[in-house]
Amino acid sequence: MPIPPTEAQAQPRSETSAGATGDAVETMLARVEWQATLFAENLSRLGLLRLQPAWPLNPLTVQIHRNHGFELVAIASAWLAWWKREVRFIYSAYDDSLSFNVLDDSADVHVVWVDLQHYGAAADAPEFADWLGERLHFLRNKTRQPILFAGLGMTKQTRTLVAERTAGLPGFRLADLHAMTEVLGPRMFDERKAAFTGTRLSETACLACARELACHWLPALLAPRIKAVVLDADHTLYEGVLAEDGLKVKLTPGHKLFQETLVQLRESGVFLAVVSHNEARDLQQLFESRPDFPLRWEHFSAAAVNWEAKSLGLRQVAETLRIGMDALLFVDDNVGELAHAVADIPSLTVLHAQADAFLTQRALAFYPALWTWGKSATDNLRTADLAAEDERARIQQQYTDPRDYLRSLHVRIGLGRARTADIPRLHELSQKTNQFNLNLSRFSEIEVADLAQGPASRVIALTLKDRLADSGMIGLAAGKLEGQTLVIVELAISCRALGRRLEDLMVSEAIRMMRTDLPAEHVVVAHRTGPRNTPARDWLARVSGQTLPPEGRVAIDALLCQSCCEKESITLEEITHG
Amino acid sequence: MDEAQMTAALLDVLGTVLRHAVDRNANRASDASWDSIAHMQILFAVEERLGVRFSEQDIPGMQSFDQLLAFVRTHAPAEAQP
Repeated sequence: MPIPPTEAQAQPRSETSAGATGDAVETMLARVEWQATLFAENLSRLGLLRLQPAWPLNPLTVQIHRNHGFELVAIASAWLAWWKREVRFIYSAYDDSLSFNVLDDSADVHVVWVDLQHYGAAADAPEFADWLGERLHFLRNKTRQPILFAGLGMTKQTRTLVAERTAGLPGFRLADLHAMTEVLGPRMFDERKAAFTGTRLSETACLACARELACHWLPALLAPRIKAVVLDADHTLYEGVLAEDGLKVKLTPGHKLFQETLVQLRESGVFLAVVSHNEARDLQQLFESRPDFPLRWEHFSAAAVNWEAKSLGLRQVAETLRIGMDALLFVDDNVGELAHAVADIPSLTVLHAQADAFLTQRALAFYPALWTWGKSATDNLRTADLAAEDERARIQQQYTDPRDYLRSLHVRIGLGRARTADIPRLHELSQKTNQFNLNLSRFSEIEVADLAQGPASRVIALTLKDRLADSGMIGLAAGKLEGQTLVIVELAISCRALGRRLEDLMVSEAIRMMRTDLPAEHVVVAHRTGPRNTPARDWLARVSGQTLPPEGRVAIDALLCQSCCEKESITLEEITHG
Repeated sequence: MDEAQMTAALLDVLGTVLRHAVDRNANRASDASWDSIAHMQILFAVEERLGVRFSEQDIPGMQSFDQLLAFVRTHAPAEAQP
């Protein structure tokens, strides 16, 4: 069926925007063609070498510190190109001593690529973990960039010990090659070519490592995670067309696995949503009448099931989930639909659901920036917190006095000086928060740690819960003492915590906590204009009583002096370090 | 797979890995892009494409198109895809 043009598409475009839109669609179509090669069950080096990107790439420099060969894993460049990165690998000499004596300043990330077999039986001793931990701390102190450690031949016991020795090391992650070794078994190694490749990894293992590195490890270390997967229904979640096949659409083994992967993503904190050309009632009935579907209707946090253009549905979903369009991944079996959506929303990322649902499942499982190093406490809370929003809105309508509303919710705000364990989540908030982010500093984990642990700086973590849901850690305030002035260099609050008019209280109490440690006569807030931080800037203009220039610093003494009317309706508590 | 198919497959592998057109005279000594990494990629790709398997002893001897073709001629399974 031809797809009618959307209203947005029917509008005349300027030459520039038409060109940009055309480029986005061309890129999308070219990327779709790569999926079969990148996510094949049996990877082909020859197939990967044939892929040549025809779209713009952003540079990424990776320094490899190694004691065994990495060059055959450098085929990771194919998946990285799909992720729109042009990678340059810089190699150290083979160095079992891990001296890290040559660091390249241009590196965006450091990978420590080590085969523990080189250390013989000594690698199983606790002293080895002590030594390795010391080396990794040494590297951490020499560079500001993220570090990934991938140890081949590492026993579970040694891995546990090394994890203990590196716990809390900011911007450091320990990759798990043990799981891959278990899956591949004897196919993991190929001693036959080791003398020539510099590694005992087999060709199969080199390709598997390359895909892990490019699709899981590096994106999870370098980029904000995709927040929502938005799904078409017909021929995407099952085989068949609901309007034609009715409730008897087919759940193939591939679609079952695909749905199971989606459920796992949801459990790891990713929102699921559906945007489908169907009757909403029929689609809901399908999910309710098919106990064989691993995916349940209630797993979708948002839905736009109608006959409107899908780009409209995607915008509705983003609004419901309170996230930006660039945080969505849209999955559809119809390339025309994907093209229309990208033409309307050039920043949208998409995945083509192919006839082989197993292929789609692998593409989803390896989609860059969907995988996570491990879910945080907040990841567990996100979907339930969003589900409570409707109930909050209903309750709010019952009260005219905001204090009564807040009192009825039993709101509790927690404040605490950032602990080591909080740093990954605070880094994530700095990176991902857009609407209420005043200075858009986009701190790395190392920068958050420096501010949290510095003698003249503090990072305050904010948590929020009410009787309907626990929102978890939803904000941070970071400040530095400059003479007699406390400069708030970052103030970021998740959009899930907005709408309850708690910002004044959260910020003033965070600053009060900072000032108990860093006595300052004045407090100023650093700010800059971003594409989406108007809510934060409007708030700052209000509490400062000033018109804001595009960027600068502004005093907020008025906020700190006033007694917040909400304070009597809310419980404030210091986060305990249990 | 006949001789012509083997030749075409090998030239395709060499051209893909070395990223330039090659002919039957291709050899490691005269091609700067045929470095040690490209060499291993060529061997892996030949194994994948032509269904052969190089032993540790075979690898040092695979320095040219002719040597690769000679190896494939005697080791490729009859059912290998062209």
